[in-house]
Order: sequence, then C-alpha cells, then structure tokens
Amino acid sequence: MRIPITFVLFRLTAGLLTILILAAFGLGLSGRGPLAGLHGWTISGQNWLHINTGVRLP
Amino acid sequence: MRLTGRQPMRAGVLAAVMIATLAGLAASGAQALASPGRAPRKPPASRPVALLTGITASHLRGYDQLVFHFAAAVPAHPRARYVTQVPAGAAGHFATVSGVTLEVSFARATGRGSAGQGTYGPQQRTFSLPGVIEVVTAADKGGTVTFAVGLARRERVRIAVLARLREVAIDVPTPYRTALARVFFVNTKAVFGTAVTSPVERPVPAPATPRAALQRLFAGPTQPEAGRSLQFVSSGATGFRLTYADGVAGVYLLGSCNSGGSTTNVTTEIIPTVRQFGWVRSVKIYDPSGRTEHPSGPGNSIPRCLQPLEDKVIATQIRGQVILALLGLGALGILIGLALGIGCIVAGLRARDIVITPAAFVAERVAAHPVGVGQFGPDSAWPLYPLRQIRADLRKIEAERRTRYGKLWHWPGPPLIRFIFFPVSGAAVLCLAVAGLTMLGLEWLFAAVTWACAAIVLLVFGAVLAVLTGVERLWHRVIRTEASCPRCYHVTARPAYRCPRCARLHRDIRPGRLGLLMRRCECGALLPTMVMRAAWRLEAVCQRCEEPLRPGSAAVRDVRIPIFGDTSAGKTRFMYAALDNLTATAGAAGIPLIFPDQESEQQATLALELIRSGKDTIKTSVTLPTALSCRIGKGASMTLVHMFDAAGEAYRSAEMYDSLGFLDNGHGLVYVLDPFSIGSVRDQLAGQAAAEIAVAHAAAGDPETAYGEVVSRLRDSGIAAGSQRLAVVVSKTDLLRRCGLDLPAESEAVAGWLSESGVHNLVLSARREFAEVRYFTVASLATDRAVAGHEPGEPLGWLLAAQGVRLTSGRDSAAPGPRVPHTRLAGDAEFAGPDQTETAKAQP
Repeated sequence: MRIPITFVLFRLTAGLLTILILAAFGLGLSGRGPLAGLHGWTISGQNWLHINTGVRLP
Repeated sequence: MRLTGRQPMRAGVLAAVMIATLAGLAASGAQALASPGRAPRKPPASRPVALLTGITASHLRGYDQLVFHFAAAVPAHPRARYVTQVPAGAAGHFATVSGVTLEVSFARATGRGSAGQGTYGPQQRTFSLPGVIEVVTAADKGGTVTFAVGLARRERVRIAVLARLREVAIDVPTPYRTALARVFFVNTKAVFGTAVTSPVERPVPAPATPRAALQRLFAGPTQPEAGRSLQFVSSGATGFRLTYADGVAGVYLLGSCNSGGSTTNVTTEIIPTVRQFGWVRSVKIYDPSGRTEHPSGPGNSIPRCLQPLEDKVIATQIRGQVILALLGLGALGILIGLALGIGCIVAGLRARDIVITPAAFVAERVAAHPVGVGQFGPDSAWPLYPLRQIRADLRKIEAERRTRYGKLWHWPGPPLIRFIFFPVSGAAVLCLAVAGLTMLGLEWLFAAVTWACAAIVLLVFGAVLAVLTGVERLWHRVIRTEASCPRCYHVTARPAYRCPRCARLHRDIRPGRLGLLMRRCECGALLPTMVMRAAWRLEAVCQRCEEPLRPGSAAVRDVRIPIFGDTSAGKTRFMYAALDNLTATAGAAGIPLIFPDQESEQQATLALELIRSGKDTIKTSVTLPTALSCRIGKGASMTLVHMFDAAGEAYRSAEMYDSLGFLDNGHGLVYVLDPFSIGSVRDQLAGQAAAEIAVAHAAAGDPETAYGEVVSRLRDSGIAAGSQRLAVVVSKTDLLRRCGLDLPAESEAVAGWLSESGVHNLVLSARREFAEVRYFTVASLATDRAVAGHEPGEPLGWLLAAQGVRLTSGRDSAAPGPRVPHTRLAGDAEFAGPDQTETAKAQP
C-alpha cells in the first residue's frame, strides 16, 4: 500500500509549521524575529531570577 | 503754556479728575501688593466657588486633552504656564512630576467638600498618553487649586473654558510620531513569596529612549494598573539623571535612597526598564551622592543604600537555591517533554495501521449510510487528508502520548523506597509532571496547526468545489450533455469510469471528498474528477450494464434517433443511405463527422460500402440493436448521434416489447413506411410492374400496425410523444418511380397522398400524438445516385436541426424547427445537490 503523496505533504507541512512556531517563540523570547515583543518576558524572568536567586543570566 | 479766560475752569475740572483717579489707584494698591505678579482677575463676589469633581485625559487626533470637571460653577480664568518647580502646600516643598512641568491653577475653586474630603479622586494620577504623563495636586488653599502637570515635551498648550459643560480643557499638542516603551513595575502579587515585575507599555515620542521609559516609570502605574497590583517602589527616589557611555547607562537617583533592606527596591524596576534597549549592556545606579558599588566593570551595579540586609540576603540565597533546583527540574522536564512529544508525533504519523485506506473508508461510509436497493456503494478511492485521515493521525498521536507518558510512571521497587527517598522521588514527580504538560502542549500545538491547515485547505476546497460544480452543471445544461448506452439504452448524465490500471469502476467521478481535480484510485492511479475531463481520458461505461460507452459520452451533446417500422420496410437501408448522405453533406460543409468507436466504424464502413455498391441489405437480426454512433462537429457544438435500428419483428413480439428502451429516450423518431405495403398502392400497381414489386420485398404487415405499436408503447411508458418530432419516411421511392408512380417531395403533399392511399389513420394519429410531423419520400440510394428531392439524409437532418446540430444538408436542416425540450434524466437529479453523493442511483 502506497500512501498518497498529499498525505505526506500535509503531515510535513503541519510539522514544519509547528517547528516554525516554536522557533519563532524561542527567537521572540531572545528579542528577535516576528515575536520580538516576547523579549519583555525574558527580561522579567531574568530580573526575577536575579532578584530572587542572584543568578545573572547573560 | 499760556491760559485763556475759560482755561481756569477747565483746569479745575482736570485737577478733580486726576485726584479721583489717584484715589482709586490707592484703593486698589493693597490688593496688588497682596498678590504679586499677574494675579488672576478677581471674580465678582456673587460668583460661586467651582467644585472640582474629576480629572480625565485622553488622546485625540494630534493632541492630548486634559479635562478638569467642575460642579456648581466653572473657573472663569484658569491659568497654565511652564515652570521648573510648583510650590506645594508647605513652605519649601515642591510638587515633582516627570517630564516638563506645567503649572495649572484655578482661582475661586476647590477640590474639597464641606467636610474637607477630596472631591476629585487621587492626588496623583498617571496617564498612558504620549503627551500628558501625570497630574499631581500641588496645593488647594485660599480658594485656588494648583496642579503640577508632567508633559513629555514642551508644547504650546491651549486652554478652553467650556462653561456649559462646566469643564476646563487643556489641549497639549503631540506633533510627533510615537513608539511603545515598556516600563516594569513591581507586582505585589508574589509568586511563591518572591518578587516579580510586570511590564506595561507606554506611548512615548519616537524613538523610544531609556530616558522616556524612566520618566514613565517614575510617574508610576495608571489607576487600572494599580488595580492589577502594580506599584512603583521608589526607595525614596523622586527623580533621576541619566547618562550614557559605551553601552553603559548611568542612572543617578535624586531625592533620597533607602530600600529598608528589602530585596525589592527601585533597582528591581530600573534595570529591566533600561535593559529593554538592546544597546544598553549594563546599568549603573548611583545614589543621590553619586556613589555606586561597582562603578566600573561589565555588570550592573547598585548603590549601597539599596543593598538588602544580610538576613534577607541569606533567606534570598536559600530561596534562590530552591528556586534554581526547581527551575532546573522544570527545564529538564521541558526537555524530556519536548523529546517525547516529538517522538509521539513522529511515531503517530509514521504508523501504517491507522491509514484510512479506500477500502476502510468505503466500509465506514457504508456503515454510516447503508447502501439501499438500486444504489451503488461508494467509490474506492483515497479520501482527502483533511476530511478523514487528519482525525486518525491526531488520535494515534494522542494514543502514543498516553502510552509513552504512562510508561514513565512505571517505577521499579516498592512504594516504601519511594517514600524513603522522598526528595528524589518528589523531584522526579515534578520533572515528569512538567514533561507531561510539555508533551500535552506540544501535541495541542501540533493539533491546532494541523486543524488550521485543514481549515484553510477546506476553505479553498469549498470555493473551488463550488466553481467546478457550477461549471459542470452549466455545461450540462447549456450543451445538454448526456451519456447513452448503445446496448442497454440506459441514459444518464454521469456514466461510470473504469480505472485504466485496475479496471475498478468509479461511479461518481464528481469533485468531492475523494478529490477536487484528481482522485487517486485504490490501486494508486490518478484519475481526473470532472465528467468533462474524464470523458476524454478514461473509458466510460454504462452505470447499468457496465458495457463501454462511446468516447466523449456525457461531455458532448447526445442525440438519439430510433428508426422503426415494419419488417422489410427498408429501415436499415434508409439508415445506411442517410448516413452516406450525411457524411457527404458534412464533408462538403467542412464539418467533421467521425465514428468514435471501433464497433461503429466497422458497421459504418460495411454500411457505406454496401449502399455505395448498390447491393441489397441483409435482414436485420432479431436481437436488440446496438446503436450506430457518429460524432458530428467540434468544440462545444460536438454531438454524438446514435441511430437505433431494430428488426421489424421486435415491434410485433410481445416478449421484446419491453426491451425497446431506445424508443423512450429518443430525441426524434423516424418511422419508415414501405409504400408497397399499402393495399391501394399494390392494387394500383398490380399487373403493371411485377418485377419491381418483387424487387421491393414489400413489407407484409399493415403500415399502421408498427406505428400503432410504437405509439402505444410510448404512451404506456409515460413518454411524452407530444414533445418529439416524428419523421415519416416513405421509402423505396425509386422503385415506385420505376413503376410509374412519382411521389411528391413536399411534406403536406406526401401526407395528402398517404391519406388518399388509405393510411389516413396514421396521418391523423401522428398529427395528434407528436409535436411536429414531417413527411419525406426517400430513395435509399448512395449520394451520387440520389434522386433530387428524395435525399435520404433529409429526415435525419431535420431531426438533428431540432437538437441544434447544424448541417447544411437540405432546405429544412438550415432552418431548425421548434427546439424540443430537454428531457430530464434520472442522473440529472444528482447534479441538484451541492454535496457529493457516494452512491449513484440505478435506473429503474
């Protein structure tokens, strides 16, 4: 049984888009990409971590 | 100056006026000294004191509007001016605001009620506006209320007194672009007892700078933000001075500096607020004396006055270690969750057992909608991914996630061991919990993305489906396409198609859940979906008998012409001669006429050879006839013409009576009448032309009998003969001519001759039963020997013209008669529904 190529393409597209969203989220946390506004969360997190643990992340 | 006689009196009056003026000035001098500078005009004593009830601000197109709302009265002459400091109530105290300071004062006004309570809300309020930063009450005494307003830039403000509304509006122009800057305030809603900051956004003049962000920080949160537990922890600072050097921002605090040993102080807010700008690498915060702990070096620095106390530092360190451990476990859990989640998705998608094969899909469909009697089952082809397989995939991924995550909780050893090593097992539980949440989140994200893709695909799919269905329906209605079986005479709008690879039948080829433009057969072969496209690429077969149809069936106009008559009436010869005549006529007109299939081509070749050689035709087989088909024209005017010629015995046999289905779906009938079978004609020729009569092989029966049988059958079958044309063809005209009987060529004249010859019942019945009847006298000879006025192609040309088939043969075909209504077929009904039906109804 040979699975239609459209099935494979659809699955690959969904998988790639999921990875892209995760990557955009990760880049956004580091202040880059289309979701750069998420960088504020990182700064808050860094600040929180620094205040509460003394650890200073780069 | 010299005085005349009347001058002494004038001088006296002038002196009196001057004295009065001086007296008035002296009276007003006391008030002028009490309020130095440009004091507001003193309102009339009768004017009531304006009571301030509220302060609002909003951004309008191009400016911010700060509105002071009053009750009872409105101050007549409010004042606004830029100052460096606004004196507060106590001597030596000043109201401080962020940004440029605008002093606003209202004379003969108050913000306190009769009991001394405030009437307009908080003394300080912040606005999230590009121009107006904050408003602080400076003083409210002596009938004058004074405010310090912090503005982003010094702009020319405009004051408007709206007496009717009892408002004073101050418009602050904002003639600049703005950008959003984030400001971090302490959130008093602690997380695990720890401090946390939350960012809010402020519109500031573009480009956003650390100075603008810090101005908004020192202005504090707005009232709604304060309601969300945000607050500005100032640690005694009232302002700041800012310097930049090589990516290092120096923040010099003004006022005082005291954090009370708390780990949460003004640096908690300043550092993230300044660090949001990527080019700031570190922040050095100085106390009002200009000192900080680490003035040089790469990291941030805070002054000693903001260092937390030792015990708080220790508590923070312990708490920090716990937090770090928890964070580490959480991070580990996220990594495990990501790895396992990706593994679940990949494994779920790679699984072969969950693929919805065509056979499985057919079984599902049949289980959901059982196939009834006279219906066909769904076609065996791969369904579109978003319509079925997507659910199977996501269900399999979910099952994989449950299985794999469940295995993580199977720990070795008895529960006592886990209890003893509680810290370890607790950490593992935490880690696995985070991993589980991560797996769930990843699965949901993948499912959301997949469904979003499916939704987009289905939207496009729906639009294209509507267009394709509309095109096909339009084509069907305009061209009047049909498919007729040449063997079982079943007529449908949509035939079945045979897969060229596996010979599996596809009974409903329309675009739908099995494919939009193409569908994939279970064997893997790609098949076109629309009838218009499939007709030329696939083998069309009859839905009922599954025998092959003519190529192009259901994609072109389909015209069926049954030829009936008594035995030996000359039907077959007439058909061959008519075909020969049509071929010649179409060829002369440059209209292509071909035989679309091998069977028709062979039959036509034999027929044309026979008719051109002048030989006699052989007796037609008593078995049911197979249509002789030809395709006339090209493009949209292409037409498949099927001619049915059954043996005369078929119309007399009661057993075959029900098998003459081709009569039911005809677009016009040809009745061939042998003139030698008419008694009066035979009597007239008796003894004169015995040889010709012998050659004629006169039909034995009464000519009205075969006609009557067909009309009765049509009536019994519910066929509307009244919408059809009937061509009555008097054959063997050439033989009659040789016998000395020259028949007329005009239809009415032929009808008259028939009536006179004793077949008046047929003439009367035909006129009553059919939409239009025309009479022809035909010599069934080859075209090159045809008798003028008796060409055998004329009857067919006349019938074809009614169906829009243009042939230049004869005088009548050029002028088509009334168009015969298009009969609605069983298959047509299936075009009415917007959705694809997986079963095709069989013809009864």
